[in-house]
Amino acid sequence: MREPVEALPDELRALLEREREGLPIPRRADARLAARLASLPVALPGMTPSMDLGSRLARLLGRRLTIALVSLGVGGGVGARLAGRFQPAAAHPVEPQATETRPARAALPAPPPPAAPRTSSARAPVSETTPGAPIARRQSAPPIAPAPPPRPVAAPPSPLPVAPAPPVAVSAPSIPPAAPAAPSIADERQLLETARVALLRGDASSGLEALTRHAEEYPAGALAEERESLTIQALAQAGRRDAAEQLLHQFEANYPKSLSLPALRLGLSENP
Amino acid sequence: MPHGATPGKSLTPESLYQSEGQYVWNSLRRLGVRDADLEDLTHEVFIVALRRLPSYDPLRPIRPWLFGIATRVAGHQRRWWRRRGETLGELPDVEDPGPPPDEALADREQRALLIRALGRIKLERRAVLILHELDEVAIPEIARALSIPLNTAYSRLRIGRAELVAAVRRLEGRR
Repeated sequence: MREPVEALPDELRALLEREREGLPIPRRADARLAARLASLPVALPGMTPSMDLGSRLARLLGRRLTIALVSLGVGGGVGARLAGRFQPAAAHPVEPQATETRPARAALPAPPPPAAPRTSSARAPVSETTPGAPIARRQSAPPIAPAPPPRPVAAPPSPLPVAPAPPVAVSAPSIPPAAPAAPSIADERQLLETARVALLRGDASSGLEALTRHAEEYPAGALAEERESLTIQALAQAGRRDAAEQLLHQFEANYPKSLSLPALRLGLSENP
Repeated sequence: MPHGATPGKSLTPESLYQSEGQYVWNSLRRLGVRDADLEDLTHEVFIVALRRLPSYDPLRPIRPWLFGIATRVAGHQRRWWRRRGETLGELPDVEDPGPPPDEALADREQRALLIRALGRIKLERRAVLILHELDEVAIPEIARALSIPLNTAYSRLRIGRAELVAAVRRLEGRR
């Protein structure tokens, strides 16, 4: 048990008492940390401490490829749209980031309604756990500025056959990991959370659906890296290995230092 | 729950961060990590922790275990990440409080004094001191978390306490 603190002078005890309650993490750092850790490969429900990240991802990626192939009615088209969206930088190269407006939705068809009921939409908003979120959410509610003109999309999404998918025809984009203006990081996270939960369920097509929505609403969002990482996992889970590898190459180019890379590479290499 | 929640069955990087992020951040700060490095090293602690989950005994409190990792990370001071901040977008900083009122100023000074005093103590003893005096972890648990013999833990605490008292006195005398 604890030895009596009486051994310490009163003054020192007071100092310790004061420090015992830690300081809060500064808002920005907290939001960045949460995002960085969220971009790690998903953990499986029931994951036990005996499984390391690599094996968890490998297991995730290797799961029921054939089932996913069959159930990919929506996912195929979604994946193609998504793949086309992997060049947000090409679509709007040097966007001034100071404005408060969120990135306008590009002149593309709205995403189809979700195929399955979103179980995760009932989840508590991320903002409850992210200190920076409430403000962000407030700012994102109505568009503040008049809607900017529709942005030209550099490369229209190339339609992809469902499976087996040929390499996605995407020019190597150079996404500068630029700070986006989007203040709605909580909204962003919500969408990615939806995707993550879908992937955990093994529902790759709903996952891709949510990821597509994210790509459309936040083409250069703050969590773009996480989105792309999840997309690679989703495609792999859906059995669309070629597309997954293609996107992995882009991901490597765009985020050479990403912590997700080793696990993504491992996951793809171990499931030929 | 003084030592943090025991992780349930579905432990994710996010859930671990949500429950223990602040603890890790503060542990690194107390161990003497500079403010500018706290974010990166906090991240690193979680990366290491997730990789080492197999070595974590779920029956034990998680905080001392995390602290053990934080101690090693703080000791290395190597950085995997450099200024990743700008890739993730800046949130409006609503924390700018203006000039702090007296109480906040005093609080900051007192905390800083303690951290400086701790900084004068060798890391291995500093770690035991922090775990025991601030986190209120029992010595046997500390010995386990830091992988040191029980007697070593006791002796580090004893010497560390004496050093801390002396360090605080020196620092206060200088003010």
